[in-house]
Amino acid sequence: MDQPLPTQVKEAIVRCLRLPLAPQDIADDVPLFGDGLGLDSIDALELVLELERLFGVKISDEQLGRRVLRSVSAIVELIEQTKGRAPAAQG
Amino acid sequence: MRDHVVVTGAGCLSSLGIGADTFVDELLAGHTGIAPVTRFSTEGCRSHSAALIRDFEPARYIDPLKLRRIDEVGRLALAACRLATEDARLPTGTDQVGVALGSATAGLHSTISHLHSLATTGPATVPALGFSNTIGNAAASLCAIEFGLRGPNLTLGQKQASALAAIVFAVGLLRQGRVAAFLCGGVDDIEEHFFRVHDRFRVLSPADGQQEASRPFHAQRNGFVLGTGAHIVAIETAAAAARRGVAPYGEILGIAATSSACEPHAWPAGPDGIARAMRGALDDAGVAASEVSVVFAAANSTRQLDWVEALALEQVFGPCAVPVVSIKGAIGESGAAGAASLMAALVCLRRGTLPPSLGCTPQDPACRVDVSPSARPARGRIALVNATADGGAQYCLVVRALPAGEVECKARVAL
Repeated sequence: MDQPLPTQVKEAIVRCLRLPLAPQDIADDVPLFGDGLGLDSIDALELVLELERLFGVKISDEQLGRRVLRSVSAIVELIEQTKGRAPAAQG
Repeated sequence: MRDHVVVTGAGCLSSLGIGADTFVDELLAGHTGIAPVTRFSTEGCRSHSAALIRDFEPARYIDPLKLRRIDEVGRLALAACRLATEDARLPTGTDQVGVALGSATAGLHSTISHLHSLATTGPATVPALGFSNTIGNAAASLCAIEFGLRGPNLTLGQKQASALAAIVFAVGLLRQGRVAAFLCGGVDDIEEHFFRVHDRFRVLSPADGQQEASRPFHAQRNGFVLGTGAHIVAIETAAAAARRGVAPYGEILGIAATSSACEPHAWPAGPDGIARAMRGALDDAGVAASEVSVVFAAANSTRQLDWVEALALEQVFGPCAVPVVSIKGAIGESGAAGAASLMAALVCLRRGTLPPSLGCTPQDPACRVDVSPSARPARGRIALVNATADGGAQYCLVVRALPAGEVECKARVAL
């Protein structure tokens, strides 16, 4: 059975960014960039590619990126919105 | 009058241990950093040994969040620059300090990793995270970012002569007064493919039916052993060091660079390029050959290089006229080896003892040089340091060691 979506996102973040953390160490609402987890623009690029690959979400511009990559919760929200728009056969 | 350049700090990560003093202690004790390779498989190779850095724990020097995206050479460069900066008490966050790295393997590990991803899963999954490490200057850039060093920043790849190439370049800029100080030297690490390519090209000392060993000037030497290391020195003008009240390890009196313009992977056919570099560095230093206490040779256990360097030494100094040391019997061959020799020269002369040239006996009668398999007393404080790359690049330094605590250059600067 699939893990809850927030857990999947946290696992993806830790794995693709090779973070020295366990997925459960990342709180849902902790800021991913700056003073929170300390990620930067190169991490953002990697994360955008990984989220697209795993969850089919398109983060096509910087403004959307800033909003969505704010936290795990914000990423989960976008994934759920994307799933909601997708045809049932693919969901 | 031209300002003198002095060495005020040393950062050393080597197959003989961490820190310049440990490195020299081990050299003088006659220990070797060469051992059977266990980090990766050498199955099917003719050679199975290398001198790999030992006791290096990257997390002691680099924040874990940064560490995850810095490859092997970058980690070594950052750690060695940190050690050299601390040793010299060099200011950070300044426009007046540059970084000049010499490396034959900068970007190698990340490039191999990216090619592997590309070949196995295609371009869509090639990780972005480590991509910047594939750039040859990534390690030097990371050092600049980490310590806020906004002076000139570059990496020179000149194979086995890389480290001295970087130091010679940095000395030139310091003499022109472009900046106050440089972190410079050599950083190299190896991985399986790099080792296997050298093995396939048959340049390494082989084990199959022969003795696999690094034996500079030995009668039966049969190739070099790959080494690794990060040897970074902090250099600055004597005036800058005196202002900061830092006691230098020694002065860099003379520099020279030449080329033998030989074929891409060949050692020089004759001694002229090496002899010209040594004469050039002595002229630049204003030092007579008879004043040199020791030569730290480039000789690396290959038939050709050891022989032509011996001929060049004979041309410049006369047969067996100056004590010669090659530390490559202990640390193997790498792009960092020239900077390792520089550090060894300054610290050993300060201590008054020359290190052994491991593996040099029975000596090749065609190599008429004064080498010793044992440590021996040093007379005087001036050393000449050679580095030669296959392909023919040749660099030479003439240096003078200073006793611990002596800020001897002040008087000269005042002239």
